[in-house]
This record gives sequence, C-alpha cells and structure tokens, in this order.
Amino acid sequence: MTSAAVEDVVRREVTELLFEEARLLDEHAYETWEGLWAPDGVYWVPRGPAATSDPSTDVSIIYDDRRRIARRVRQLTGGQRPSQQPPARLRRLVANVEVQRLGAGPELEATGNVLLVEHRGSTRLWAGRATWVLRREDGQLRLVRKTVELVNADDFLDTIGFLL
Amino acid sequence: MGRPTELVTPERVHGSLFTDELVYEREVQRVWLGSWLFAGHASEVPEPGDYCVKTVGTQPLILSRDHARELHVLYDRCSHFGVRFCNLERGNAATFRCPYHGWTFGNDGSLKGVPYPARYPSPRDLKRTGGLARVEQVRMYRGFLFVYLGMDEAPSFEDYLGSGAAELLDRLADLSPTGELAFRAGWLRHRIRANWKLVAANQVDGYHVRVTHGSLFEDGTGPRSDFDYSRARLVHTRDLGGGHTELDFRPGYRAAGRPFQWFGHVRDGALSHYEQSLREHRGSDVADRVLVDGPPHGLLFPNLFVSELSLYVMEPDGVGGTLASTTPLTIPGQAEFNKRSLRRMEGGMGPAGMLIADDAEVAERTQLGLIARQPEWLDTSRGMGQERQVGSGTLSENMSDETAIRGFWRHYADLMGWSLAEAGPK
Repeated sequence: MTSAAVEDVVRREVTELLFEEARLLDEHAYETWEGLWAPDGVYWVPRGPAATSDPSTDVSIIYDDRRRIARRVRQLTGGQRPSQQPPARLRRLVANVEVQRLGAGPELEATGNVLLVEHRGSTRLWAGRATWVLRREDGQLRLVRKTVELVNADDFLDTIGFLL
Repeated sequence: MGRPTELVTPERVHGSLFTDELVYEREVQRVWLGSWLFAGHASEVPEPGDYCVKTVGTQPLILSRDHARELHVLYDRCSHFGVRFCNLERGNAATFRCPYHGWTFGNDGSLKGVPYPARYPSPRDLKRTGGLARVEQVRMYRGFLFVYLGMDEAPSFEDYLGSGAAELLDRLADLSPTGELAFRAGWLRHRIRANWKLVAANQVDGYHVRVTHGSLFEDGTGPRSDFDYSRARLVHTRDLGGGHTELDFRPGYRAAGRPFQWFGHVRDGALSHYEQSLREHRGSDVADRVLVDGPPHGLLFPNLFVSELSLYVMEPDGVGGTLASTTPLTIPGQAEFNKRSLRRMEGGMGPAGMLIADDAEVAERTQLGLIARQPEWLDTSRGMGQERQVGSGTLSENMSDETAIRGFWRHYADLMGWSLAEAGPK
C-alpha cells in the first residue's frame, strides 16, 4: 500500500482524536466513544500478527462489525455485567504515533503503541500496537477500523471486560 | 474442627474441594492421570510433518504427524536432560532439535542423532532406546483424540465414551455434510483464577444464565432472548452418565421448528450452499433434523466442553486456577458457515467474549468467596426428585435444575475413590 505524509495540521487533528478516544475508553464514556465510529467500522483484536491473520479463517479475540460494536457498548452501559461491576479503573498511554495518508484515497492511517494499566481486584498491564484507519465524514474524522495487536495475544489472557 | 468425612454428597459439595492442595494433588493422580482426557483433534495436524503443542491435564504433549501420516502423541521433554524443546504452538517439521546438547528427534519421536555419539557406552543402543517418551494409550473417535496419561492400564475407552459422550460428538459431526470437521482457526486462551471444577460445572449450569448474562437480555436481541425460567422446559438438563452432561436445547428448537435457531441471525438463504451440501450428502430427512437441532452443548468429563459451535478445553492451573482454550468449529469447503462460526464464537467466547468474560468473573468471585470458612457447603440439590431416568442417565425438563451438575460430581467422587454410597474418603 502506498502512503504519503500528511500536513502538520492533519497530524495534530488525528493525534487529538486518538487522545480523546483513549480518554473516553478510560472513563467508560462508551456511548460517546461509539459516536466516533463510521457506519462501516470494524474493531479488531487479532490473535496473531494482523499482517498474517485473516479474520475469515483465523479466530480473533475481538472482531466486531459496527453492529456488534453497538452491542458491546450496550452490554457495557446496561449495568448488569458482573465483569464490569464495578468498572475496571483504566489509564492508557498512546505513544509513538505516526500518521500517513492511505494511498490516493481519503483515508488516513495512524499507528502507535498503547500501554494500558487496568485495576480491578489486582493491577494488570496490557500492551500492544494499535492501528486506526480514519475517514472524514461531514467534516469530522471517524473511526473506520481500529486494530489492536496485543503483545501477548496468543497467550493465556486475563478477562478483557473493558475495551482496548 | 476436623474435615467432614464426605466431601461430595448427592445434594451438596464441600468448599474445600476448590481450595485444598491435598484434594488437588489427589485429582492430579486420580483425574488427570486417571481418566481418559481430550487431547486434540486430528484436523489440527492434517499434513505429514505437522505438529502442535498441547497441555493435557498437567502434561505438555506434542501431537505430531509423521511422513507416513501416522499420528504420534509425544511428551515435550528431551529424553536426554528434560528440556521442553517445542517453542511454537504449531508448525511443520521433519525433526525436533533440543537447544541444550543438540539431540535430534524425528517427528515420530525416534532419536535421529546425538552430537559426538562415540562417547556413549553403547551408541547403537542409545539410538534405539533414546527416543522421546510417548503416550501409549491413545484413542480416536471421529477425529477427536483422547489420551490416558496414567502409567497403569486405562479403563475401557468404550466405557468412557459411553453412549452419551459419543452421541455429543456424533451430533457435532452431524453438522458437517461429509462428517469432516476442522479445528484449525486457532485457539483463544483465557486464564481464569478459579478452580477447574467451578469452570467445568458452570458450562452445564442452566440456572445462572438469566442473571450472570443478564446484560445480554436487556435489549431483546441477545442469544435466546426469549429465555425465561417459566419456559425453561424448552431446554433440558441431562446427566449422561460417566460424568458427561449436557444442556439440551433441542426441545425448544424442535417446538419452534425453524432451522438455524442455534446460529444467531441467519437470513433466509444466507447459508444456502451449506444447506444444499447437507441435503446432498445426508438426504433431506437428516438435513431437516440437523438444521433444527443444531450442535450439542455438553461437557465430556473432565476437560472438553463442546460449546455448540466451538470446543472449550480446560486444564488445571494449580488448585485455584484454570487455563481455558477455545477454537471454533469449521467445515471444509463451507466458507460462509465458517466465517459465521468464527464470528459467533468471538462474540461469546474467549477472554473478551460477551458471555465467557462474565462466567469467568463469577467463577473468580466464587474462588474468593470460598476463602470464607462458613458455610462449609455448596448446594447442588436444585430439582432433585423431579427427574427421570433416560437410558443410563438422568434428565430434568427444567434447564435451571442441577441434574447435570450432580452427574458431574457423582463421577468425580467415583474417580476420587469417594463412593457416595459409602461413608468417607478411602
């Protein structure tokens, strides 16, 4: 895939969106978070490296189309989910962000590292490489695809009752 | 206060079964080295040279297919100095080489070579006897591989499978037009900080569904959103004998009579290729039945939960932990079915699954609750006396009854040498 550099103003806009997304997730503002998504959004946590994983033949930890993203959000906001009663306390860092234009099309791609501290009963550390594909709709950047490749994706993982 | 003389009775089980290291040590001997265990499926190593690594019970094993296509179950331990040498969970290899002193083994487990063999007293004997240790007691049923890891002679495999457990596997294989199943999409791994028996028995607990998974019933679009205890007779709970148990969803599916109720939202025609293949290979009568009945939801004692369209395998991680691995069912040549099977499993199962995450949570809270020493017992009496005998097993028409759970515990007590008819552990 060819890519091209983006102007500073776009880079700043994208970075601010990623930081906003991180804060919304940390603070369980799931409905606002859901509003960031484009209608064809896909939220993907592969079990192996994204480059060599095919979601039609390889099982994923999460592979949510837009409808299932909505469902997951409803489950989290419905208040009857034992694994989030009380909600995990979360703080994540999004770092090493790079932004580029995807081909000649209107979509932008951001990549970065995510380091997340989860506290619920005990404290756990989650780390991974994240990729966001973004598209401008009605003047606003929307999430088209978010991929999180956990460093330990193929290992035994503790319950993930929150969103990465 | 001393220990009670019976830890399992027909209507309750003792809290120490989940927390006591001595009970766990006994289980390692009597369950994990004293019962047939599910080890994997032949489709995981389809080609010559394919291998995959498993922990079965407590034991690290390699399933390996040699160049003559014969399947071997080997211990992942160098016969020379004990090193665990497989560092990928699956792959294709002609030989395995230990990284310590370089002993090299064929994919059939035989010793192929050692560096500087002349220094051994009898190099020729070494080559003959120095291969990897192998699991000798291995049996296969419809591609499902079972092992017995004790050094004594295994009990009859036919008795282990019984009619009930074999039927669960038959019903899964029935979903495939050709009977061929494939489990190659990868395993999701989930660490649960709770005793394995809490995790296992929960899979056939029909009582918790509306509460633990209440968040999925809120908006009416959840799996089985019509679920309701007053209509619970549409799902039966069964003790199949031998510790094998199930929640049987067929009565409800049959009452509605629609195909694919077990597959979420399937628009008419969306799986027409699959449906047509099933009719061609199996005839319309069988196909009609399979399409309504769907896959089983049952536990093969002790470590395989046939979770409808996925396999869920448990291994103990000490007395207070369980490691669970889940993989979706796929059928060769049925791409659309397979994609849906993957999506369905991901929605419910695995560490981020919308169902299993909450099951794991309540299991972990139970493990924490059991630190409290009072009351000593867990109650398993729900529905007692309202069951009927079916074949060698027991059935209750109310899914919230604990018939299956009592079946699990009765067999467990037998294996542990605690006959319920007699007083006290031997």
